[in-house]
Parts: sequence; C-alpha cells; structure tokens
Amino acid sequence: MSADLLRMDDYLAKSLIRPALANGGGAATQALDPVVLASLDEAWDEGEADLVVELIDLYLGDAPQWVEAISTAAAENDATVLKRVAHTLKGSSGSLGIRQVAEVCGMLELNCSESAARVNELLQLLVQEFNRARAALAAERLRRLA
Amino acid sequence: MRVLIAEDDIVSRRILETLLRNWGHEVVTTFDGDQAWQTMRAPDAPALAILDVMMPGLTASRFAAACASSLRQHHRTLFC
Repeated sequence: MSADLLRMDDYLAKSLIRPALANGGGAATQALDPVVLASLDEAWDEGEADLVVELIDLYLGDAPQWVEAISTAAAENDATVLKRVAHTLKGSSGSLGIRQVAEVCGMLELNCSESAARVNELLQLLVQEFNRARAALAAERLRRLA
Repeated sequence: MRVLIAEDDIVSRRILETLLRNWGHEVVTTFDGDQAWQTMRAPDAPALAILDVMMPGLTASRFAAACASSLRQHHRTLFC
C-alpha cells in the first residue's frame, strides 16, 4: 500500500495560507478580516486580475445558494444536508476572511442535530451575518476596482 | 508535481489552485469525490491529492480507503 494520508482540520485560510491568520486580532467584529485579504493579496501575481475581486465574485455568485440550501435543510430537519452545506459555506467564508459567517456555519455544523429552535436561532444569525458580509464584500470590490 | 484538488467550495478551490500554480505545480481540479477518484485512477494520476474532508460523491474517507486498496503508484493524500 502506498497512499500517505495527512489531515488538516480547518478551513484554508487558517490552515495553509498563513498560520498567523488563526489570530484575528482586532478584526473580530469586522465583516471582512483584513489580515486574510492582505494574505490573499500576497498570493496575487502582478499583471493578473485582482485575485480578491475574483474570489468576491465567486463567493457572491455561489454563497447565496448555500444559505438557501441551509435554510431548506433546516426547514426539512435534514441534519445530513445541513451539516454538509454548512461545512462548504464555512470553508468558503473562512477562506475569504468572512469570519462571522464561517463561525456561525461551524456552529450549525456542530448543532445540526439539535432542536429546531436552536437550529433556527443559528439560521437567523447566519442570514444576518451573511447580509452584513455581502454588503462589505460589495464595498471591498468597488474599492479595489476604483 | 501534478496535484489534484477535490473541493466543492469554489473559493477555497480557487485559492489553493492559485497558490499551487504560483509555486510551480501543475494543478487538476474537481468538485466532488467521484471525479477525484476517476482522476486518481488515470495513468497520469497526480502525485498529491488534496481533498475536502466533506464533499459530494465519494467521501474523503471512502476515497482514502479506495486508494489504499486499489492504487499501485505512490501518492499522498491530504485532507482539509
């Protein structure tokens, strides 16, 4: 047998891009973590389109369907789908420095089998944080393209 | 080195792809476990597979078990 298996138990931004990202400092209350965005800028080759703008576009095009899928899974008490989709949105959000959305998704992932009241409470928090993040992402995108 | 990224989260997949290409690697991407498995069974299979631990299709744990029992060439698998 030849396969070597390694495991990383967190989303990309914390795990790979830069270990210091695990500390967020004063960014805890910001919708977008500037440390993560700066780290992503470091991965961007000059002469190419702004990677963060591309990632924002990918996120804004993709994430709403995951929020919707989480809402549907919660309404149908489908813990399996809820857990999987929350995991995906957690990774996507964390990798782009959308810390609060990632954290709520992590809580949904952990609490997917809890009471409907608890899941709905987290779902409301997710929608609130997602809307805040969406506005912040749109502003960041405009700022970079200006 | 050829590297496979299997990740249904499009943002993380794009970041990983960018980093690995910048580091000089050839990158193959898939968004689910079934596609990843087909890629790793090909004659020119990547030497490294980076898998989302929870992805659609063949799960990462089943993927690892399948690799252990079926693949002959040496490769590494990284879960994230």
